[in-house]
Amino acid sequence: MLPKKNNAQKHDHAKFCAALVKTHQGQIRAFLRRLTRNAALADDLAQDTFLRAFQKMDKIQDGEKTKSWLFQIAYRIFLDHIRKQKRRQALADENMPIEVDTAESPTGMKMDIEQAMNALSTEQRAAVMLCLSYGMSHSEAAIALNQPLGTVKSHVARGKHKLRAFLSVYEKA
Amino acid sequence: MMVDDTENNEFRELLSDYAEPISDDGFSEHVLMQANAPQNIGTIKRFMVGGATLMAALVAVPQLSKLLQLLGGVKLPELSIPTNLAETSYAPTMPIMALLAVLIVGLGSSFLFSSDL
Repeated sequence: MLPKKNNAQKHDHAKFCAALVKTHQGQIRAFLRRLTRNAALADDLAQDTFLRAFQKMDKIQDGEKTKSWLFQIAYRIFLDHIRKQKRRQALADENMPIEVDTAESPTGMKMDIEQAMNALSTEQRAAVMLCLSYGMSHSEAAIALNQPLGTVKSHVARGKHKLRAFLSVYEKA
Repeated sequence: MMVDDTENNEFRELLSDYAEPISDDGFSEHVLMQANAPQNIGTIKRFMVGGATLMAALVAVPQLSKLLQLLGGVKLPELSIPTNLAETSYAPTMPIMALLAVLIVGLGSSFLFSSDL
């Protein structure tokens, strides 16, 4: 539920919420889709992300920090989901149990990249996406992933290394 | 540094499709509706509980005098209870009624002003 406010504040709050979700939904949903590899689940998690963000509006910061803050919420919600899922299914696997979408199977180069990215661990994939796809700096990604800066740098470096190796093997093949 | 930048740009280009933002196919509206929905339900619940409490009070208050009269007319059967005990069992109706009224009002107001609804 939205926090209690007077009418003017409610109006501003509603406008701000609308702007927030419209500006960031595309990236948040894409980020979660790539992590979960399930469109419906990703949209549910994205919805939870925005609802939680609306409740914590007072903690929001301006500009680029808003983006990191939203990604932080999204990533935390994703990790919570994995934990619950793991508890339920008692899987030892590092990656989450996946109900992979088959509706939109990529082809050619897209598929190669997707396979290469799926070969990365969840943390590496998240770090690589934030830094290389969404143009975040390492420190912004560190805020978003709630990890030390060094860890994020290492995830990105390892991720790039694995991607490079995977793609070069693929090219040769 | 230059090599890093070039490499990063290559990766960015490579991954540009991979994490392409998803178009807003009604998602924003759905989320905003969800954000407002609990508040509406809360308001409706509050009105319903408030209305029910008011109705209950309207029904109960006129009956109170009758109930008191009825209780006043009650004569306990003569039992073989020691006299001093029988005297104490004389029902303190007013305090009980007051307690009940406080309970009803308390319950009603806690529902009305609870933020968890």
